Amino acid sequence: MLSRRQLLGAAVAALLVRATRSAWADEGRNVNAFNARSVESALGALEVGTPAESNLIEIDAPDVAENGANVPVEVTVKVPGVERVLVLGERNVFPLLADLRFGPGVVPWFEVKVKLAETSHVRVLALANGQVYAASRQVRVIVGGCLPG
Amino acid sequence: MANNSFRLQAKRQADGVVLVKALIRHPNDNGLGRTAEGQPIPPHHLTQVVVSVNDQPVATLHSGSGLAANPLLGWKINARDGDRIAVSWLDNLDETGRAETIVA
Repeated sequence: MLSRRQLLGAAVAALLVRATRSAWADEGRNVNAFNARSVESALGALEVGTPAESNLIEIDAPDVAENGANVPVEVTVKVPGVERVLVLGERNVFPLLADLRFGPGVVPWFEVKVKLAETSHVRVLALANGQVYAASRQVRVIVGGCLPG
Repeated sequence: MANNSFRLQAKRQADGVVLVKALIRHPNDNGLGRTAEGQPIPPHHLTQVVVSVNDQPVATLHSGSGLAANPLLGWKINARDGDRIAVSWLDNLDETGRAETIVA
């Protein structure tokens, strides 16, 4: 049996998630971009401009990933004033992997574990002051991570 | 039912920045897989992760099905000792999870 306190706690937690969902994430999740099946259509749905290649984005990922189902990616963005970062796996069925937003007080750095279908570039776009910066890094995938079996 | 348990750490590094690491237990199924019996496995993946400091959201991650199962996520934030760091998630089936820790 759940106690009344446990039930109340669960309800408050659920409400908090709903509240944070609308309070700060002013722009909602771009469903079309995440459902897009090519890099071009994902970026089209996101309506980001043409990126300029930049060495101010550092992507740390293994050169060779034994298991494409679990590839660690670490990104450091040194572009001043970056507010949003996009991560794409160029040959995945659904290429857009993550769309991150950073408030003030957060270092423009993150790490995330992603799935990669096959050997491809991981592409990172950083949006700052209306400009789009991009960098890529190739990861060789031994066993693809998107289809089990 | 999603297993809501996940691990959250907030540790101050030598440079003063607080490293927040979240290990979220979630299948992140992309809907492309099939069971051994050939039945399609429906999509079940995280859609949003929010990091907050003392209930103020400071960073969000939106995702599709491309995160690894049980993904490890990390952010670096400026926070004071005693601040409450919370990470909450939402998935495509409207299931939620939340963990909280104190900066030490």
